[in-house]
Amino acid sequence: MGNGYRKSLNIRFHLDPRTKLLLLILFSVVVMIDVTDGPAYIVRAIMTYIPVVLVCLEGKPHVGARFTVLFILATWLMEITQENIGGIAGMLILFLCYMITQFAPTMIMVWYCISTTKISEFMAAMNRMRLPQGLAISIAVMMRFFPTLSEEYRSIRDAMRMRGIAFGGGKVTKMIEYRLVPLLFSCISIGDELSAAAVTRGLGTPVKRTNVCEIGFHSKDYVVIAVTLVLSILYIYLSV
Amino acid sequence: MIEIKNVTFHYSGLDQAGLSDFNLSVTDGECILLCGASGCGKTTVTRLINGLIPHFFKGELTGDVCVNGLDIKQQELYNLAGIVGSVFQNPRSQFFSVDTDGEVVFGPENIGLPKPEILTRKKQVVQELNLNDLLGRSLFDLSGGEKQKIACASVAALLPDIIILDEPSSNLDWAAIRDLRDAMQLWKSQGKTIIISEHRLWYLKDIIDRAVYMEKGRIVNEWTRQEFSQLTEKELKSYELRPVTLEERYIRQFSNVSKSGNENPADQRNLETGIDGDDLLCLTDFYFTYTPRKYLFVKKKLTPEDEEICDLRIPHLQIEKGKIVGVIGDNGSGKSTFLRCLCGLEKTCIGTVEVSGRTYHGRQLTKICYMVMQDVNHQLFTNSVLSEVLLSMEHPDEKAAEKILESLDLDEYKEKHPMALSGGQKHG
Repeated sequence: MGNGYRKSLNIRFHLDPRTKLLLLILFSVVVMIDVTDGPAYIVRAIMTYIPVVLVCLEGKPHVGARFTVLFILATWLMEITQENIGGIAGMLILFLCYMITQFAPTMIMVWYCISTTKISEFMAAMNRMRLPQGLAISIAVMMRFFPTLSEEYRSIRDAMRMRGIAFGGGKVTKMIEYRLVPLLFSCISIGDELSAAAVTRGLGTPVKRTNVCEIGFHSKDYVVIAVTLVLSILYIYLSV
Repeated sequence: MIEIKNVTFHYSGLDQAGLSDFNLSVTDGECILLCGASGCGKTTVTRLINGLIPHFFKGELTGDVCVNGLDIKQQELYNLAGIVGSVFQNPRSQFFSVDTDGEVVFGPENIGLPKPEILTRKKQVVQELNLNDLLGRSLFDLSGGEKQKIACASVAALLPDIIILDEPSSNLDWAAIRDLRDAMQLWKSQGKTIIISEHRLWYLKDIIDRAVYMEKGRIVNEWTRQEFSQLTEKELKSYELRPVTLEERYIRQFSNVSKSGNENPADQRNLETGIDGDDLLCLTDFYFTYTPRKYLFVKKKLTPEDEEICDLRIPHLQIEKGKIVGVIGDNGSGKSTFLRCLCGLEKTCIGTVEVSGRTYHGRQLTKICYMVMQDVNHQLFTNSVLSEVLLSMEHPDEKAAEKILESLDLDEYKEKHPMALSGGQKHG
């Protein structure tokens, strides 16, 4: 996720954070309802491509292309497996393919939403929706912490490799322990320093926070919302 | 105006040094340097002034701290935000936004200033600190020096009367330190009071009005700017302080080295030393990039032909066996990248190392190398010092482990938790 932040701050196709939030909610609903054939499945397949199109518009067509191939491959493999392969192997393959077709679109959606939203934009959106400031700040801190967490995790993994204990001497418990203990320690100290810096810059002042960031709905927001909404309603109507 | 009177402070739950009967008064517009060994209480003093003590770091506090006529103990931290600004040591953990613009306006947004006012302030700060090139970028993308600049801007945008800097230069190279000094000079000319706690002294000697030397939570000595810059090397050494002037000589020498991007001076140098091949480590083809070409399905292997996109370019280097080699250069010149590649941590690096006839590459390098990293906390995994040592031995042997600890003067700590040791001890 750290890389997501790095590369996509130059946003080309800018959606309002509230639009993204709505997309996320609709997608979560779609994931919950399971359909494998009929007209509803076609609607679902079309919906799958909404995040892919968004990612492509963001200037990452290679990610979109990779996903398309993966998605088609998984669908195809699922058909074959259902007819030809039985037993545990078949179950495993089915499970894997099912995970890909079912959850991958939502995962791409989440990744898209988080990596293209600046924290200030998010705070502004929360503010417009009149949600409590405490909630907005805690989610913002979480968003801020993801890239740090992955940075920390990477350097711990490197240290483990260097010490030759990447596999914890073969013990799974040790493997997890060696990863988590240093991670927790460094997160606690970073969290402490971060909050010290934030409070000395006035975070938590009991006045209404200003948001300099410009957000607002534009025609593309309406288009994206309309398409997703229509598809979702159609999907729910067809599948229930 | 800052008035610290008879302050005694102990951090609760920590052995960390506090202050005992500390007195300091600073007039408006003065620039004060706090110096002294690690753990002498410099940072504690800065925390007293910005209110982090007693509101954030808890402990026993007696005595009075007054800033601009306000009693710190009675104030909430957010009331102080517009009066005292703080720049901290670690550039990584003091920004709250993920983009530079958001960080500069973060403070003013928090105290709820009207939007036009915030934008005017932003414009002013950006102009004063020369930040135009940094706007609109991700903070995770910046070097330590650039992050520290943004931190300064974010503090300055609150227009505080007092600015506190706690070892701000720790992770910076000379160019970045020069920028930091320029920022301080600007603040001084604007009449702001500056309190800086620092180990590196050379860049401060023309800015400070007074230097305060601390030991074990007390002020031991005070110098004016003139006295301070005339301290002899011997006197400084007796205080265990770093040189005030010495480093300048090197700066002049090295700051003129051309810095075009990531060009590595070692690039073309082939060390023909005439030493027997057996005693040499031959490094070949150390090429590496952080921004590989976009690929569709299969990652393309890096070759020396990809030179123009590489962040590290060392076609050939020879090192004598058993020698200690220093790798120096500016922030972002590729020092760490080189070491990471050398240890086999960057999988896409194609470099090989030849040691007495055998060639190692990729993963094999991890086995023959060890790197002590900058952040020690990431490298300690167990709950006692002894087991930490046993962990990295191929055949765990307690006797041998104890011997190693003895040789590093760590044997008395062997049952302690590694995280409880001081920074220097952890490195051992």
